[in-house]
Amino acid sequence: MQNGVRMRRRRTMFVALLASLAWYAPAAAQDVGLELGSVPDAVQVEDLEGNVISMSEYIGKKPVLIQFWATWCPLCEALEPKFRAVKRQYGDTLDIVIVAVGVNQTPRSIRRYLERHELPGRVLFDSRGRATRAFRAPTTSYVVALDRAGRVVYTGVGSDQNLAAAAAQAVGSR
Amino acid sequence: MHAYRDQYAQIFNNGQHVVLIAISADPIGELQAWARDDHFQFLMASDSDVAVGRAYGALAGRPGVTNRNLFVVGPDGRIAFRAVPFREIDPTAYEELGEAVKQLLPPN
Repeated sequence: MQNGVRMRRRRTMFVALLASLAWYAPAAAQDVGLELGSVPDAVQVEDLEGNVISMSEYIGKKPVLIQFWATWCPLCEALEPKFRAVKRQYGDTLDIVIVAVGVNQTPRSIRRYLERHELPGRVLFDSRGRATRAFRAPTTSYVVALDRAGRVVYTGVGSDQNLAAAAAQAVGSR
Repeated sequence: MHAYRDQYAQIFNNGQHVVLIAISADPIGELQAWARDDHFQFLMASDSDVAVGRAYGALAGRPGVTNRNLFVVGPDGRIAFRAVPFREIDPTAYEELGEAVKQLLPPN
């Protein structure tokens, strides 16, 4: 029996996952993701109907805030009023794009969420993680602000982000 | 963490020949509540002095904060796969992890 136990132990692998609740604490801007001044690749994502959408529709066209988002992300929900305030202030002079990540959600569950929540921007689905990799998104709630030339002027994560300042940077940058 | 829970069968062979340990700097009481509330079927361990986090290069440069690094240790005790950091919101990262685990499973 002991040999049997040892045999099982020898065949067992370990997967160590170093995680932290603290990771979800608000982080300072500019210490995550893309470098300031860089221009992200215009990868393809999908809309909620499965149509292919190129991020080139939003990169280098006008100032834009892009958030990596999920229905299960409480920090994203906490940011919703801030996004609505930015939309009220800037209207059509600034785009807001919500990139729904392709982990633990589907277009169907996203649509159900949107029936109860007003998000002030287009929601796209990153089913294969292309945008997540292109924007070096470390986690949900990650926000990238691009100026009208498509250059990164702000990155940040967490619910304490100053989106008004990020939007002002995106709009004001020449 | 919900992705590990929900894909436990596919990625971690439902715990057969695989032990998943989520190691965190958070206090054990918080982890216990987290695991209970969210029905995690894998182990969670508190690394309150971040000794493990330091050894595995997971310190994020801010006090008390760790990156989500992931290591697969084979039955021989050697690291067979690492994701530093693990791309937790990229679905292909879970596919890569599942493939790495599958390579180490004993033949049926």
